[in-house]
Parts: sequence; structure tokens; C-alpha cells
Amino acid sequence: MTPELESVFATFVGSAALTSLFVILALIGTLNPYHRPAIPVLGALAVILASTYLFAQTAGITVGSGALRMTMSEGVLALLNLLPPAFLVFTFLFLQASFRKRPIDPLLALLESESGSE
Amino acid sequence: MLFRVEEPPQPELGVVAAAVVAAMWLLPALVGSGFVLIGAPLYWRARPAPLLVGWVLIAVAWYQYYSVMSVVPMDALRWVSALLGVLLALAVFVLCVRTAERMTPQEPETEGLTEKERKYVESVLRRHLEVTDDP
Repeated sequence: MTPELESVFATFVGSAALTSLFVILALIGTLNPYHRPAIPVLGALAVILASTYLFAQTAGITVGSGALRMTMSEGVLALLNLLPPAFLVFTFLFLQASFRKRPIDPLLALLESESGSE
Repeated sequence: MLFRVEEPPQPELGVVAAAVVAAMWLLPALVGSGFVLIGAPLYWRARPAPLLVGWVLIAVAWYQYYSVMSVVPMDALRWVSALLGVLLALAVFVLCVRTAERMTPQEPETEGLTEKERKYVESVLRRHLEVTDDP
């Protein structure tokens, strides 16, 4: 595998592992008596472990805490890489929001006229 | 404890360095976005001052991004790859939630009301529905 493809693959497994970690944290944060988090947590853990194993195999390192840390680091870098295209989309949405004309709301017009008459 | 003075080990050092570089354009981007949302006519009339400040900060953020970061065609492949990784993790989560919900035993059908309960509900409904408009 070429270094470029290796980096693309590391980005893929890293973002999958980090998203699964976020999923586990969200499940822990929303625990309640009616929750059944066991299967989703196991699924997310499976994704993290599989990603770490695949990353270790590609990078030629042993599967362990070091590989897990490297996979998570790749995940953070991958999500940081995703921010510019996301911000580009948001910039277009902000442009639309800035130049849009608010639809005339009869209730708000009534409020404005009432506040103006006082 | 909150702010480490000594350098973190690898691979966290690379992450910290990337985060610091990204913060150069992310901070004005976030603050600018906040100002634009305050100033844009979303729920009320437009407020020109925050809107203008927000757009200036967004312009600064894009300028910073292009002066600090170097965009190469390979980045597009990495964006797609990162997006696919996120989607894979979310798809596994959705499938797991679906499986957990399917494995949840269904509640048995509720039994009908007894004669006493039926009369009670009937009396409550009668009291609430048969109120006349007369004072």
C-alpha cells in the first residue's frame, strides 16, 4: 500500500473509531432506567477494536494501547480535516440567512404596531 | 492540571500541533458564525452591526485558513474517507439500536376496564363534557 493510500485508510478507521467513542460517551451520558445500552455499546466497542486492529496491521505495529492511541489521534486529525468543508457549507448557509427576507408575520406586525402606538 | 506545561508524547503531540494550527482559523470562524447568527434576520429583524462584525470575522477565518493550511488534492480523498468512517460508525450504532429494540419483549395487551372502572370513567367524562354554558 502506498503512503497516500495508507493515510486515507488511517483517516477512515480513525474517524470510525473516534465516532464510536463519542457514541459510547453519549450513551453513558444519557443512561436512565429505561435505556438498553448494552448492544449499542458492544457494537461501538467492536468498531473501535476492529479499527485499531486494522490500523495496527496497516502500520505494522503491535495491537495494544499504543495502536489505540494512534487510531484515536488519526480520528481527531480526520475530524479536524473535515472542519473546512463543513465550514464552507455553513458559510453558504450563513449567506442565505443574512440576505433572506423575513416572511411577513401578522402576529409580529400586530405586536410592532401595538408597541409603536404606546 | 488543566494546562500541561510539558510536551505530550507522540502521537498526542501531533494532535496538539494540528489543533493549535486549526485554532488559528477556527476561533475567528466560530466567533464570526455566532455574530452572523445574532445579526441575521432569522427570528427578528436584521442587526447590521453584529452581522457586519460576523462577516468580517468569517472573512478573516478563510484568509487565515488559506495562509496557514495548504490544501492539496489528496485532502478531498481524506475528507471523503473521514466522512465514510463517521457514517460507518453511525450505521453500526443505528443497527445495534434496532437490534436492541427488536429484542425488547412486547408488553402484553392491556385488559379491558372492569364494570366499576367503566362507570368511573363514564362519570368523569360526563362531568367534563356535559357542562352547559349557563352561569
